[in-house]
Amino acid sequence: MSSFKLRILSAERPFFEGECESLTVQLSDGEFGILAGHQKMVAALVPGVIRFKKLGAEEEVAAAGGGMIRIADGEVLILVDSAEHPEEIDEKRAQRALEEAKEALLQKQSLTEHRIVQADLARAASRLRASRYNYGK
Amino acid sequence: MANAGEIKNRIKSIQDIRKITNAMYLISTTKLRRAKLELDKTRPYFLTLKEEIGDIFFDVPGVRSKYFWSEERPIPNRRRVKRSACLVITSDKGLAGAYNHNVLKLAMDYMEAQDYMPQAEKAMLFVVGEYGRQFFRQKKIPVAKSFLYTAQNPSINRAREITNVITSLYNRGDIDEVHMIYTDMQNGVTTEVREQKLLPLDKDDFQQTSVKNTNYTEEDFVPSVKQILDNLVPSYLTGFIFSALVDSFCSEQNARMLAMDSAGRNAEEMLHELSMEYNRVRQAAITQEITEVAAGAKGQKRAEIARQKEA
Repeated sequence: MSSFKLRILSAERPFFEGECESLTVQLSDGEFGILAGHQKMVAALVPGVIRFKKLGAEEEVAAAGGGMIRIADGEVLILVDSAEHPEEIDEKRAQRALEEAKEALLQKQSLTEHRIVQADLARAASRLRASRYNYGK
Repeated sequence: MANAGEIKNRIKSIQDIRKITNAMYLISTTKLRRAKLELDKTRPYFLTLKEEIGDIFFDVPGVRSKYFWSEERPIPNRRRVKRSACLVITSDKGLAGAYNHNVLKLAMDYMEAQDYMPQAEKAMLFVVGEYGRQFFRQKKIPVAKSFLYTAQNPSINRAREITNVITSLYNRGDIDEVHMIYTDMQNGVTTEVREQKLLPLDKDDFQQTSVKNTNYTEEDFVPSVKQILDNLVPSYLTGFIFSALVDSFCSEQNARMLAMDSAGRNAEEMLHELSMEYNRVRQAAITQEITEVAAGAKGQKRAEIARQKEA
């Protein structure tokens, strides 16, 4: 299977760099799959799970924040606010954060706070989903 | 001249202070190293991000965004600068030489040049660090009240929160321009206080890289150029503010290291002088005692001889 070069940079650290066979990311209108030879594109990413299959290896998942993806010259670049491996995520903590964010969303607050809490909620949900990928295997 | 006991006391207290300054020096060294490491890890992300924003801005004709300003592409529905806000980064505590003083001096100069009129209900001065807040309170210059961020151990999350506060004010149109005053670490030794415009972004700050053969067209963007830029710019600002926080923190630690180093050296010098004086005083006391004993002994002897002669 043909492969392409993938580079994932998160704000905290360079997350991944290497050859990949396939990649699935979250766009605002749903999941989006990418294979080698994809056409040129720049898109906004929403917080969610990123799945990528390394050349001749198992599929890997990562919980990611919002950001962008750029496909050009047969190379894929992903820039996200945060990215985590499932094993780095404490499921209980993610669950708690999710509940806290839901709770906070119910309370009356300013528009700024509302946006922040909404982002928190999306992040917590994506972390939780990524952490459960491990159990499926 | 002080007596030996007093000098000894003084030496003891100076030794104790030197222990403290030495400890502060060491703490600053480790904090500096840790902060730099953190920054190095985030650098690739923000440099790439900056390149991408630059590419999009230069490559796509007619991009307009509320975050950009240039003469030929004015921001739609926006007046010329009326209200500007300023983010000032100071430290939480003193004992760092002229570090805070330099920042606050530039901040005052800036406000004077801008004809900044402080209004209590609409203060647009965002201050990081307790030292700066105290300073403006004393000068009776109102600062944004709920903006309480520490300068200690800068983290990307804190930078993100600061960006949130600022961009939401900017998007609402409460402020038209945002500046930042911070201390830049140039090469590990020299530091310089700087004033930098944060928003709107200036085209000149973004170099057209164009090594990659991008040649974007409007159709390459999902869902739209505007959406993507609106998504990316806050992240870029976060990175910029984060590196300013880290640079300022490093400069602070650096200033403190220098201050503590010279304090340590001064203590060393004082200890040297004091121990000389202590020895001199002690010697003088011994000499005096010997003289007294000798004189006493001599007097005794003379009295004895006189008594023997009488007998």
